[in-house]
Amino acid sequence: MTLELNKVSHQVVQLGEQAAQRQRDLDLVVPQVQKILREHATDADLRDLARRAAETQKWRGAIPTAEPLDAAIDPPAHPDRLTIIAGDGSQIYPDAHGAALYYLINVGTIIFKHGSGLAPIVATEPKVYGDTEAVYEDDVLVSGPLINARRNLAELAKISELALSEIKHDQIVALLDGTLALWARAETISKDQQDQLERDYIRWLDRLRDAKVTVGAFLSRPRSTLVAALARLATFDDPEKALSSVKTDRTPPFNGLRDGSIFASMLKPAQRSAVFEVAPGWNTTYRQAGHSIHFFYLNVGDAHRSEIARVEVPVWIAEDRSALGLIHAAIVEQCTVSRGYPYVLARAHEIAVVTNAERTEFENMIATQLMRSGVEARPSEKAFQKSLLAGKHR
Amino acid sequence: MSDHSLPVGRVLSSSTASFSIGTKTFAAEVPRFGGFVKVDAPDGSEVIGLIYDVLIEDDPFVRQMIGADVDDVYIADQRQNRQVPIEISVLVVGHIRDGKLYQFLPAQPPISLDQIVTCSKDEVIRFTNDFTYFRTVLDAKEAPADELLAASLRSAAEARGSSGRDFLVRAGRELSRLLAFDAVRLEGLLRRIRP
Repeated sequence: MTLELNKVSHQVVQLGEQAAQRQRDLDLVVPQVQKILREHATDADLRDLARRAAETQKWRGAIPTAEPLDAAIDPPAHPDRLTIIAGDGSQIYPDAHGAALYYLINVGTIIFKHGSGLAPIVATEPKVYGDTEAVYEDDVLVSGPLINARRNLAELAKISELALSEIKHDQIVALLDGTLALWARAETISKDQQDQLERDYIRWLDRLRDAKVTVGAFLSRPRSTLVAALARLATFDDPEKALSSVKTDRTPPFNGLRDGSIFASMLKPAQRSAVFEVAPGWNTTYRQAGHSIHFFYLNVGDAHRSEIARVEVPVWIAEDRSALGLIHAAIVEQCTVSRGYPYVLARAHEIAVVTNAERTEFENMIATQLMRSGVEARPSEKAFQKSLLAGKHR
Repeated sequence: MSDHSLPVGRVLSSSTASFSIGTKTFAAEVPRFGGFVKVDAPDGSEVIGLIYDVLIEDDPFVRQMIGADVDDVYIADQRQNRQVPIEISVLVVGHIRDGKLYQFLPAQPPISLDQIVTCSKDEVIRFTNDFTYFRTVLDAKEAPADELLAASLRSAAEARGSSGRDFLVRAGRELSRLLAFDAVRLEGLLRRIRP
């Protein structure tokens, strides 16, 4: 049996109608929120309120910086020469039904020397984890979130190594895909592991800061509501009532309006928003280490269609106008080639990705090696039967 | 044309009468339409063929760059780093067995991943001393037969240097005989190989 499309067609129609209605509802709210941002563009009281809300009420939102909330800033001119380094990773998760227990992290990198005329330097660094300590965590098979966190750390480590080497020769922009913060705060990762991963991650950020490398992360089509949360705070005349509402009202601001919708019609192509600081919470660790995560929204679309991305940078980039302009200009230029997504990140992904065919070949290699070593290597009966059925329905 | 054999690519798929090659190589010398190539067959013979099509497959990622005014680094990346899939089709026109040349189909085709190389200048001259392969090319359904035969003859004439003109005259006479009942086709072919 397979997915019987005729049985879901009615639900698909409903889904489409609901999405369209929701979009119409949200579209009505957008001008209202934009008006709030304009009215409070340079409101120092709102900034203080956001800080207080974050510190006292664990508020999750965007804390304004010195830039006006309704800012729409054009990129500076792209330098003639600039080295952009990007990295992305992929993984093979451990499979308890496979011929062998292991996992793999593969990091792809690209060094793109704009203006040099030279082909970029591309590389991969695959690493196989097969020993008991790596595959088991407290006698439980290593979890997906832990592997993801190790992959994120490996990505930052690799682009940092390259950036620290290249910074002697050229201006550098180092770019990651997704968020700049390491997502290690998962239930399936032990506290010791979380702390160790974050320590290692922050050490790399320290090195980048010391070497003055412009680093950032590009998040395509963000679904965050951080600026919407700020706008909701601004609707209160009484700051105490605002703080109290943070505590009692946990509903999404403006009925779930995403920041991307707010900025889609505020920013022209290539323009960025003001820089905001991510309120503490998960940002606390980075704040304390001197790398507080800041972000801006950027329209990487064209004259016909807005495409809003979020660019995250550490505070030492956010406060350096020249570095901020450099990463802004670099991303805009990169997005004109591969529309709406930096070329270097698209290529880093292409380099890193492990295809199904490569995975099969790699697993055959492992099975062969195990057999040579006298170890029986075969998938579980369940995996074997499933593979037969998968072949039949291909 | 080189005095030596140059690598072209590896066999992707094959049959007795034709085969296709996958390659990343794209240089001035290879691959060339009408160029003579050879590859080992499992029975120890060498299969001789003519390149009749070079296909650069569509790549949606590259499509975005068409018409864009991009820095040279992007172009260099696409051409040098990315696995641009080039597929070359070859029409089999003969084979070499025990050092002897035969201008008819071999007993076995090459097998997947066998390395294809260009025929050297001497090998092209030797092979084209005989015109039996003309009929194989003229009858080919999958290839642009007349263009292919003309290209192979120009290539063979070039290999002969100063005696290339005489070679083309002899080839023209042979074509006149083979295509005596198809004057239009003959005229088109003779125009294409005119010295």
